[in-house]
Formats: sequence, structure tokens, C-alpha cells
Amino acid sequence: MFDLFVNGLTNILTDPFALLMAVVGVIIGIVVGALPGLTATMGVALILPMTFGMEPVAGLLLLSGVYFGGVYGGSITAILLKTPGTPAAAATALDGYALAQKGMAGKALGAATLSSSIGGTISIIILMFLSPVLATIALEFSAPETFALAVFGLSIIASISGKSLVKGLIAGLVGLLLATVGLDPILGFPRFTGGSEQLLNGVPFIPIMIGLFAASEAFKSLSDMNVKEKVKVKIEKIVPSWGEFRGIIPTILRSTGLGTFIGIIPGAGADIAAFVAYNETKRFNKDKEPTDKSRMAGVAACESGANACTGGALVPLLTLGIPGDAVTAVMLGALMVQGLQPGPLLFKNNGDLVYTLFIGMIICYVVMCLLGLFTARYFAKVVQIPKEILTPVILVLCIVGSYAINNSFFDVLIMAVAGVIGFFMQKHDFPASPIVLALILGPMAESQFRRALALSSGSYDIFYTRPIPLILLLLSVITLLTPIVKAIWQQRKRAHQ
Amino acid sequence: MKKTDLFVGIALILLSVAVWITSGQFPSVGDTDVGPGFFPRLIAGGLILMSLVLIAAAFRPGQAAEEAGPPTSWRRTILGFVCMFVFLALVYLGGFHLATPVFLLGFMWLFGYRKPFASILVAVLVTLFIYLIFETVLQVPLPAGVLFE
Repeated sequence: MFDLFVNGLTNILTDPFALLMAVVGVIIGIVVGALPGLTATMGVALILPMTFGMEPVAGLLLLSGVYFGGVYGGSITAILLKTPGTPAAAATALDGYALAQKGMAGKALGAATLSSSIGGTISIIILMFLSPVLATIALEFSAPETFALAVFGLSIIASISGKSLVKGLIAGLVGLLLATVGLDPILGFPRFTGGSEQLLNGVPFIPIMIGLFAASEAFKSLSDMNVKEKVKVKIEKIVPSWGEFRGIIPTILRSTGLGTFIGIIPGAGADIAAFVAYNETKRFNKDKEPTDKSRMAGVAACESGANACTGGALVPLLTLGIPGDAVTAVMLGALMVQGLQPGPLLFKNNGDLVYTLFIGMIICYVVMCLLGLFTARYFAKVVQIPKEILTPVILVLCIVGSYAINNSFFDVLIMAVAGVIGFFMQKHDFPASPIVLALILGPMAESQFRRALALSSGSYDIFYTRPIPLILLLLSVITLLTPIVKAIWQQRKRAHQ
Repeated sequence: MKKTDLFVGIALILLSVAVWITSGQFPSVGDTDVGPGFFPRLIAGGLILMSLVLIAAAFRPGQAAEEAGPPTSWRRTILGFVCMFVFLALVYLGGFHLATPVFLLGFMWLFGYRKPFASILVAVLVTLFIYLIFETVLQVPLPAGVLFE
């Protein structure tokens, strides 16, 4: 463990290109996060094609930087404009903007920067110690366990990702159906390819991700009526004093713990982590009237919670190969492009690389802290970029990116169609992330299911006589039934009144 | 009543039925394996069930007024779709290096950003930047266009 750590540190320090990519990634991430309408997921999806030609460490650090910076960047516009750049920063806007209006924008930005970086760093350290343990356990998993894990991941994601359970499930099922296109995993029989050779390997999921997460967002920002934004608040000193910092340390630590834990649960992302951490902090501070101090704590709670979620979300991704949310699904695509299959074997076969990445991720957070403290005021200016310039540039990047994967126009076309469909899905409250997650987890579920049956010579007992599959499958059923039972119960209650 | 939900539900049911029928023709080999048709049928079955729930919910009265989010400008949206597909065709024919500046200029102009100097600067710089990143630094080829091949 310790030599892996030292190895990682030497690897990263002797790789100036990877370090540069970490810095570039964080800068891009903060810009993307600060721009309302652009999320960390979109940033990672857009930058992913640029990592194809890079070494794994450099490419993955670039993406990690975009991811981390993207989660943090939303706080800048949340504080200065009350327009959260990302959903996770919505809670930051509550207290952050109130502080900015009292002329304390700099203090709020300082608190946001420090708590984001500290929360993120601690979560990566937790990731570093927790994931080898989990990977060792997961190494014992065989087909039925992995099948149950995929089902559990799917059920939780479909049930909480949208406003409506039915629509979330429909999105998930459509994704599963798309995932069956191509050669079937056991016999190699071509399914639903319509004779197309390009579809034999299945529907390419990176173009679908780019379409659903980036192109559709670009269309959405076009369709919304224009609102001009401009930062009017004066930003004083950002670097906080020791006294100010000391006041928020307990909040940061508590929210970091919550955020990391929430990140580990599949399906719950940075936005949920931020809100839970915020509510917990409000519960802790019993003052009726919000004071400046409690508002600082509110900002610190949201930001450390949201960024701590990043390290947490990477735990199931790296150890089990299960992405917990949209952004980690895109990260999974990035790992696979680099020829790395996330899962327990990753730690066994590429241990050196994984630890180099962990150290690199901590460096990303250090860079983010410095950039935030000394240059946040300049990042705030990006909101002045007109939509009419930003949107076509995003579309160009979508097209170039989806072409670059296989040098194929077929992929570009799939991206474009996914973008249009994704736009309409958003308009009608169908969540997009279950589709992408089902594309990843579907083939895993099917192949492991059929492999398990081969192990048990066709008997279904194998799924409930072993403890882990039984527990995971029961949990999946509970996850899916809870919202239904709740809805029926509420209706009954209403009928009785 | 939500018309889109009704339409989506019917379309998905039709798709699922087609999947169900097609999957029936897949071969099944061996006695332990469920075969390539099992999962598609399972998913299609689930999709039919969920679509029926969606359709039933669409007929429930009193929910039609729910319109979330800012108003949609359909003129701008459709224009955006058209621009993207025209750009795709242009890239396919004329290559990335010619099509991109044309697309960027056209898009900005159509959507009301009409400062000539700034537009040209953005169009040229963005194209140059992407070219440098992909072709020079990362050595990922960009489409050259079928007309020039």
C-alpha cells in the first residue's frame, strides 16, 4: 500500500504532460461549471474524445480535472449571480448570493473554494483506502453476484433519476433494448442489426453520451428565451483569514463525510449530496435568523458535500465497474477507451496506474484550490460569453468528438440523432442518464446472467441460494416497489380525506 | 391529457411488439442457455407494461396544465436542428476545415450575433484551435471531405 502510494507520487511528478493536463482539465472544468446550462457531465463528454490519443494517466487526469472543476465551478455563478452553473450549486446559491449582496462575495467564494477542495481531497483519500478493500471482496464475485450488482445499479438509477418513476423505467428499458443490438454475448448471434456491419459491435455508446449529454443541452439553451447575465457584484479579497476558515472546519468535515457516503450509493449524485449536506448543517445551526456565519457554513456545506461526492462516486466505478451517475458513466467510457476495464481486476492488473491516478486527482484538487483562491474573479467573467457563440462551438465539438472515436460518420449521425431525441426527452421529463447507464450495465447483466445459468447447469437456484445475489436482488425489488407503494398509499390517504 | 405521453406509449408498444416477434426467430442452442432471444423479449415485455402505465396516466385528467421550465422557442430549436444537420452534410462533403468556419459564421448570424469582426475572429480561432488540438497535438485525423479525397 505504502510503496504503491510512493510509486504513484513519483510517477506523477515525473510526468509533466500529465500534470499539465490536470491543470488544463481543472481550468476547463471551472469554466464549464461556471457557465449556466453547462454541467460537469457535458464537459467530460465533450473532452473525452480528446483523450483518445493520450497516455491513460494524462487523459484520465484531464477528465478528472474537468469533472472536479465542473462540480466546483457552478458555485462561482451561484454566488455572484444566483444562477447556479450546475444543479449541485443550487443549494450554494441560497446562502452564497445573500452573502454577495451584503458585499461579502469574496468571502463566500473563498469558503466555497476551500471547502470544495478540502471535501474533494478527503474524498479521494477515502477512495484510495476504501477501494482496494472493496476490490478484494469483489474479486470473489462470480457471475450471479455481478449480475445482481448490475440489476441493482439499474433499478436504483431508473427509479430516482427522473421526476416520474415510469418515465425513468422507460428510459432504462429503452437503453437496455439498445444494448441488445449487435452480437449476443454468449453465442455471437447478430441481433437487430438490420444487416449493418457497423452495428455488429453494438450501438456505440460514446456518441450516444455526447448526443444526450452535450448536444441536447446545446439545443436546450437555444430553445430557452434569451437572458443576458452580467456580474455586477464587487469581489473583495477571496483568500479567507484563519479565523474565518476555522469557523467552517467542522461543517466541512461533516459534509465531506456525508458527501462521500452519498457518492458511493449508485444513483445519487453531487446535487443530492449538496442538498443533504446543506440541510444537515441548517439542522445543526439552531439560530432562527440566518447570520453571516451560518451562511458561510451553508456555502461550505454544499460545496464540500458536492465535491466529496466525486471521490465517493469513483468507488463503485473503479472497484465494481458500476457507474453511479451520468458523469461517472462517461468516465467509464473514458477508461474503456484507454483499454482499462473498471472492476476488481483493475486494481490487480493496473495497481500502479490506479495509484498514480489517485495522487493525480489530489493534485487536481490542490490546483483547483489555488486557481479558485487567486483567479475566481476572472472565471466569473465567462458568463458574458454570448449563447450565440457558445452553442455552435459546443455543436462543433460534439461532431468532431464523435467522429474522432472511430473516424466514422456513422457515429456522428448517431450522436446527432441522440442529441435531437435527448432534447425532446428533456422537454417531456424523460431522464437521459438511465439510457446511458443501461447501455453499460445491460450487456453486463445479460452476459453474467447467462454465464451464471451455465455454471448452475440451467438452474435458477443460483440467484437466491447465494447470499450476495439474494440480498442485491431483494434490494432492487424494494427500490423499484418503494415509489409505487408510496404513491398508492398517498392516493389512499387523499381518498380518505 | 398529455398527447406526447400517449404518442410515446403507442410508439414504444409497437416497437416492443416488433422486437418480440423478431426475437422469436433467434436460434436457441443448448439446454442451459436461455438463448439470444430471452433478454430482448424480457425487455420488450417490460416496455409494453410500462408503456401501458404511461398511456393510462396520460388519460388521467387534470395534469395537462403542468408546463415546467422556461417557454420553448420552437423557431430557434428547429433552426438549431437544421443548422446541425446542414453542418454534418457540409463536413461530409467539404471536410472539417472548410465547413466549420462557415457553420460558425452562419449559426451566429442566424441567431442574431452579427458583429462582423468578432464573428470572423471566433470562427477562425475556434477552427484553428480544434485543428491544432486534434490533428497536431493528438494526431487524431479530422474529416477531409469526400469531395477532396
